[in-house]
Amino acid sequence: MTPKYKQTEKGFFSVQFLFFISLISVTLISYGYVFYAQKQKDLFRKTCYFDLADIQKNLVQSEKKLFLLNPESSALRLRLKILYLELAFATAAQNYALVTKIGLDIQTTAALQKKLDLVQKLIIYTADSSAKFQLYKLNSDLIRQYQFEKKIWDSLLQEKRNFNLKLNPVLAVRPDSLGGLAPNYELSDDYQRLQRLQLNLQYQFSNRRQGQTVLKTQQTYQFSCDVSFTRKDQLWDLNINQDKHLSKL
Amino acid sequence: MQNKFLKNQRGQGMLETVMIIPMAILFLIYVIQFMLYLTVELAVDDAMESFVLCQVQTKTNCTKEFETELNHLPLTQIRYQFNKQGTTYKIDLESKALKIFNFQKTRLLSYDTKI
Repeated sequence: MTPKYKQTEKGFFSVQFLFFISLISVTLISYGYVFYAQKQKDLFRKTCYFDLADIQKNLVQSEKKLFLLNPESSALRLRLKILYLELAFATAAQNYALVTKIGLDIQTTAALQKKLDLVQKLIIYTADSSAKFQLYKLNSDLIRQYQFEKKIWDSLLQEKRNFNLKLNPVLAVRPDSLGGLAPNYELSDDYQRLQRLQLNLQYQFSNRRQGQTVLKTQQTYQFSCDVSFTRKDQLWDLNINQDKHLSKL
Repeated sequence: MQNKFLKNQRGQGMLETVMIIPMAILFLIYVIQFMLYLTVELAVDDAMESFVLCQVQTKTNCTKEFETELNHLPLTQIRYQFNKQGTTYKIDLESKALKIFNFQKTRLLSYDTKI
């Protein structure tokens, strides 16, 4: 009995030491994870308030640029109408020299209209594809960052992040009712829905399966953010709507 | 010599219990308290940021939500001031956490929703 008692006494300090060291380690690791989780929230906010807002601002700038061409488009339409009227009068008066001249003017105006139409379509196409490119890039950045950060906690935690980024926003413009070549453009009726940029993130973590026999931790957060805009007269305003839900599994 | 060594060894456990355990407990209490304080600070930071971003969204219930969030935390003597000048949003907060730690925080955000 005596030797056994002596053996226990010798290891007493070591056991105490190990116990406290492991306790402190667990506390520090848990605490580190709190900071890490907070960083994820900050990242989501940054994506929402800055990255998505920038993309929305770029889309709106393209719309403004497109609408600036409306006076030119109206002027060309009006000029074409006048020229057709003049052509009708000149034909009625059998003034063939004037008919030829007006015919040439009509051709020139139509060419200008065609050019303007191309510029308008180019603005729309560039805005759409640029937004899509930026969104795809943002999406891949978020996924890459997740893949990298996942490794840090891989031995301790199972972490899942599901990003759902709306990747197909469109420049919410439409030609006016007159249509034709180089029309006037205006905002679509449901422009807020069409041009809304949306990001949903489901963030889920739990401790590893081996550890779940001692302590089971499972938590899911849902973050959602959408960025749209409103236009009142000449005022364009960003609308940001961010929300968070917490659910225990 | 052998006898002395045995005497020492017998008292060692008691000595450790008397000295090390209270010290370790005190240290742990302090560490836990400090960590709690840091957690509270983190939560306050988050609440302040949420409040400022809520103001950016021009929601109407920002103040109420902010105060509710602060009330959930172990804070006393809370004083805060919010200012908005043009596109700059600023909130200053002063409080006492866990009735021990005084702290002062400022959150400043410049954000323009005009396009």
